[in-house]
Amino acid sequence: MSATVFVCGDSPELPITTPDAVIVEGLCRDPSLVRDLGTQSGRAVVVLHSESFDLSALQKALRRIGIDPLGAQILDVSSDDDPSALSLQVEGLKQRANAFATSAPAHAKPVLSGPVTRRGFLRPPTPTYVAVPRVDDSTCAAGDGCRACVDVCPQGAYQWSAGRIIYDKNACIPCGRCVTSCPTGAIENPAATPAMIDAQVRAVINAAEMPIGIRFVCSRGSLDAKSGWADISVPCASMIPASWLLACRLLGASRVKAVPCSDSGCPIDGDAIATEANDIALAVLTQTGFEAGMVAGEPPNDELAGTNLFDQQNAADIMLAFVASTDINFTVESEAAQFGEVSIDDTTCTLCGQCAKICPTNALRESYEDEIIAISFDAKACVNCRQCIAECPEIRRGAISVRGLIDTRRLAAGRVTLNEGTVASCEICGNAIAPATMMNRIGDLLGEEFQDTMKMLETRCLDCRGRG
Amino acid sequence: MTEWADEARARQGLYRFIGAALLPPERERLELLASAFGILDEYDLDKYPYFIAWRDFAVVLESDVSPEDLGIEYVRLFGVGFRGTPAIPTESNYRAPNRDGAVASFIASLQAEYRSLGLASADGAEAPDHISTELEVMSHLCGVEADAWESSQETLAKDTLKVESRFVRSHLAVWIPMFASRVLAASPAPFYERATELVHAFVIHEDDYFAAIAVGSSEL
Repeated sequence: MSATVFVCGDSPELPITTPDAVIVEGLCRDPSLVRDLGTQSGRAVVVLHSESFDLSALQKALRRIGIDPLGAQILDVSSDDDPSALSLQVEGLKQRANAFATSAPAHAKPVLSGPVTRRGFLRPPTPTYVAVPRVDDSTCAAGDGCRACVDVCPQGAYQWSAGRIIYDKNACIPCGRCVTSCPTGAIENPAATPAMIDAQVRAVINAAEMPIGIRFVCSRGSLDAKSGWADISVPCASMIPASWLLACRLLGASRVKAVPCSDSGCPIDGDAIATEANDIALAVLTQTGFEAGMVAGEPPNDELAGTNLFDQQNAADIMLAFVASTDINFTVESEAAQFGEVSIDDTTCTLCGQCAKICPTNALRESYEDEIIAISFDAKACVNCRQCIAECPEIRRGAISVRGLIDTRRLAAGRVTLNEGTVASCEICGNAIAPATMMNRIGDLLGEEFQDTMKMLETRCLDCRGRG
Repeated sequence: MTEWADEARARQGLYRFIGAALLPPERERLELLASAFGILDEYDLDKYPYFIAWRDFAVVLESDVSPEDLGIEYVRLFGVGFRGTPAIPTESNYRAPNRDGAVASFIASLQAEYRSLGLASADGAEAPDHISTELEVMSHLCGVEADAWESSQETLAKDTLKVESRFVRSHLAVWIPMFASRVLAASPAPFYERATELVHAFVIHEDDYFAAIAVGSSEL
């Protein structure tokens, strides 16, 4: 069952050509009219042509007919819009609405139109509701120390406390940076899930008669229906990772761009971040010479048909798909890259393993076998969250470093050992005590006057220290 | 002030309604719920996100629910004192530290809070931290607020709103999400699945709504 498309019928010149649209006279003036119409699917696209429609009334009416407003797609159009581009937009929004799963109570944030003044107390304010993210505690890595969402949130909406993330809905804008930066995918905004974006992008590309461009546009701005382009609304252009842009090209888009909202002024300085994502994508396309092939209208990559290309877990596969398509490996270095290259200085690393313990994606892993302790790294799993740097006790001595890097050879290389060393064993029971490098470091810190203590620490495990 | 009063009356009814839905399912209580539903549905509840959960609960309520079957399910899900009960419906079970005397201390503190509001437990009532008791307390406060708006006692009405906000934030909004997730994980019968979704959605919205008003007002 596909989403119902409600279209305001007040504007005769409105260039809507969607065949199954339900035309509603006066919808812009009175959005509550949809409550008399009903829908079978529980999903809707609402096409309006007035910037001043009553969103609160529309959300109310949608609820009444069983539609979650957080999943409904609202398109505000103008008579300047290109008819075929508009139809494409509607088709994309239908598929996006169909891909909406559900929202939880925590996902709805009430927004009042202004401050509640003394006069405002004459009647209770009726809020509108926006979708905000929610942290899934069962997959969140905060228990291991991860603070990636705290680091990227421009509003300070996230706090880390005793192994849990505390989220302040009132501080959240929401921009979505936390969603695409979460290493474990534990944060989701139900109105812009990777599955919804995937469905919308595929729909507009497949429905277009010619290869079209895709623009990711901030929801605070307005969507334009211009010939040759399809706009995808996102909470903020700064949430777009380069892999999303590249995924569009793999699917057959002729051009792609994250559009900074400079015209209205991004309230959270997201423009520079969006520009970085564009630059990274452009660097990949330039190095692989991908442009020429796609403009010639090559079909979308069939191997990617069943994969959600906008899921962070599949970002490395997108990069490797470019290599598979072009036979060209590439390297892009940028602080904003979605992948990181971890280096360990074996002269200062003590093999304490803190970096592996905190690593939310297990890109860094600690292993112990045959009395050798090792730290290994898988570039494909690293999301450049830099939590390992924050946790390293020897960071001042440069024991670990991360640089933002997309290197397809490294992504394909699999797990490599970064550092390894022997482990001091208890002379009585034979159990492991600690890495020898860590013992050396402790000895250096204690100095010569504690040599006896050091000898005991190096040769006896905790259980055997009291024995004769 | 009429609209504030209407709003408070609707909330007063909703708190009582949901609290009753989470009490043992006697036939008479279920019939009362069905008739109360029609009255509350007259209010503009569709303004709020919990309306979807409200409507879903209505579908279950209108179906042929057997009090006997629900009674068995009620004990399975909420039966205090039974080993392995999936979701004991008392706040202390989620918030009191796991040590001797902690539950008693928690409940004593809650009772002191009730006394400060001029409330005391009735004979035969559920525990002070039982979900239905806490929802009933909120229902009472909303009633006080509605009376105040209706008699143009604006200051009393706003003060009561503050008390409601504090009670929701410091109690219901803290433990109901944990309670709800345990109930829903226990594959409950549709009646309790929907009732739990409703109480969860309603309490979270209350907390969010109070917060939104507080952000926009110096008076709350």
